[in-house]
Amino acid sequence: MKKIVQTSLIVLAAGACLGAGPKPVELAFVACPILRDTATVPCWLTEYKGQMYYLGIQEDSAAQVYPPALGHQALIEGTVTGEEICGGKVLKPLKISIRPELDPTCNTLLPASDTHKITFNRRGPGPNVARPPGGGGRGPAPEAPKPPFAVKDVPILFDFDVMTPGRSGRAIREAFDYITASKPRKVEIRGYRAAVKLSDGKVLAEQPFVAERRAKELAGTFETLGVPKESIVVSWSDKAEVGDFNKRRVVVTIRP
Amino acid sequence: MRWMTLAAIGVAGAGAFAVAAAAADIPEYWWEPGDGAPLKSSETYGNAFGQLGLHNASGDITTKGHPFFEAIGTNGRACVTCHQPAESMSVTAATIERRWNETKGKDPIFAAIDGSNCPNLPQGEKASHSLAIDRGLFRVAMPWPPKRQDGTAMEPEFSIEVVRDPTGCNTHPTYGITGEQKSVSVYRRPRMAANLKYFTAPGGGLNAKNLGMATLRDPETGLHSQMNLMSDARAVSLRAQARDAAANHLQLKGPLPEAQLKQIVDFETQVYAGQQSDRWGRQLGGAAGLPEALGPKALADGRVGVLGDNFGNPVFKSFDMWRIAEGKTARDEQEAFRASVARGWDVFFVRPFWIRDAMHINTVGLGNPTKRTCATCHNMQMTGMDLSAGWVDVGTTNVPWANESPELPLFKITCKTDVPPHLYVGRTIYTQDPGRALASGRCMDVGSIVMGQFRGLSSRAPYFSNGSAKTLRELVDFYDRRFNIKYTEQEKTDLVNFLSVL
Repeated sequence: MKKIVQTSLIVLAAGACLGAGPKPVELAFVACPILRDTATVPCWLTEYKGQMYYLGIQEDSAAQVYPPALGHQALIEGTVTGEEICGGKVLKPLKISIRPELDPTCNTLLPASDTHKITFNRRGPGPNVARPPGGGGRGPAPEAPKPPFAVKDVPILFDFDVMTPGRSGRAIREAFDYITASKPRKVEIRGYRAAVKLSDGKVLAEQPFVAERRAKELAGTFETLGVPKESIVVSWSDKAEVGDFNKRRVVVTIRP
Repeated sequence: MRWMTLAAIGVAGAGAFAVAAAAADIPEYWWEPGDGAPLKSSETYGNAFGQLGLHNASGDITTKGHPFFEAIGTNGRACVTCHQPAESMSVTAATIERRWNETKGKDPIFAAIDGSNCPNLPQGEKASHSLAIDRGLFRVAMPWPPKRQDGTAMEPEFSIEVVRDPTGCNTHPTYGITGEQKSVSVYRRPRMAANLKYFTAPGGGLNAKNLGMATLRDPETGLHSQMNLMSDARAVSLRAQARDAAANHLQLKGPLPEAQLKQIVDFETQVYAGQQSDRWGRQLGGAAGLPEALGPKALADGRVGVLGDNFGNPVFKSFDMWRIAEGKTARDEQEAFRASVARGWDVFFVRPFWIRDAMHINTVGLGNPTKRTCATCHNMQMTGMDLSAGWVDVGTTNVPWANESPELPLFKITCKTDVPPHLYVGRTIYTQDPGRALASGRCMDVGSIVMGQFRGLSSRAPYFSNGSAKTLRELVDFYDRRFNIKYTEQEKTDLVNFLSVL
């Protein structure tokens, strides 16, 4: 016990030292993305207050961050790092939410040049180098949850203003596996709406109907997956909670 | 009796290497309902590019009394009417026109229900069947509002207005959207009823395109559908598709008996079709030293569920044996053709271009645009379909990309403000066919069509669900224009030749 306390103190002290440095700059802004071609794969950028920021390279659906879209503005939320890639400062962590409505002014595609080179790409613009002979890209199925089963909350995150869960397949699967194993009497699906404080001081709130639609959409998904309709209880909160991307969510509460 | 004659027809695929050949004598085939002849385990049928091969994995098929080959409905048609063995288990516009001329429009393929532009039109007039005759299209009357899988009506995310109604069906007091039957008439090609194992195997529970939505379940088996059947994935299984076709295309009164249903599905799941030989009569696949993916037997033997957008398991495997070493020249026309096919493989598999504004492609985490190749989306090994639920909007039916088609209806779709829009067209969409959206009710699906397979193409023109590409060259030209690819003439020729041997 004593040893743990000592370790904690050291960590706290280290944290205090780090805290003395410049505070990381967190940015949240809406801007057009810019696509820059390179000799290997394209990279994504955006400009805010005269500074270019790097938003990632073209990858595939396994990517950590999904790229934005020309033809649309995007909400960018990230912390500025000292690193620079493809002519833009790296934001890490980074969240990109494509704004749903069209904006034809977002249409900048820069040609490839010798200045900007991407060499760390896992994949080029063509087919993947190889796949296992089995052909699938999926790993083994996760182990089924085991009893005892307690009440479990599974947050399913959404992009800003987006009503379909998009990349949250893993979390949906986690919730479904727990439901399948625990056979709950009730599955509560509660949708939330969020707002983000932009770097210019304005608050950008999600559309008023988002919480309801998220909850209903996810309830439909669970029903189709086989969760008994009578066990599902859907609710939502229309209040726009100001915060980061974790506020843009549906919480699935599984009550065995 | 199977009916066959010889006729001179022009070579399809203008611009392809094959065009060097003049019009050739190509046998014509037509399988009448109730023909009764056996369908052998291995059959070949001539086409402009060589021969199509048909392979029945379960051996010779007795067609006499078989519900796929007999007129089991009330209008004289059988499944085989629109799924002809000689035409890759589909049917060409050219054959439909020939049937009109030879039967003076009496062939049951011209049944008023869907073989005419609208059932109310004078059925004896050729013009009333122009979409079938000119484009190989059949009317599909989709309920409005759309219905769920269980048959209940759903509230769609959009409204629909008729902007252009050249057939008169969408504004007709009986058949129109606001008419007695409340249906949206769209016009689609019959799909190829072969090689079905690749895209009817059960799929995963969640749509792998990262929409976080579940794929529909087959209520009979409880398994999730791959959702790659039909142009709009509305049928979750071959059994569901057969019931739908029996009721709506064969006008069967009452349910399809279980024994017949089983026979139809059993037949469909064992029949394979692919181009088998080239114009010179030489085998394309099925032997050592030839491309492993070619020919119907290769399709029967192929593995299901293999992702092919990688060099480990390429979509159509390898054509390297047909390449000509640098500095050497082709010894003859056939060798030159095969080298062109191998280059066409390159155009398909590794030639990148900007894929842009394609719903359910750019939206799956690739970014918009994404610099990729044909094989990125056409990634299912052996078929070139999508291994995920395969509906996409590449613009074949939506304005502004769809080919001008004043003979087809045009709809205005207005999406509600509280639903996700079609990300690349917006909330107001003009379309010749809303596609998947008429089954899902979703705005984001407007104009999305399930990818068709790439096999047996030489026997089943025209192409795309609305028959808007008369030849393989027109199909390639569409993509060239749509994605501003800037293919060279050589690349176009090579790609057409490649497609012609599949």
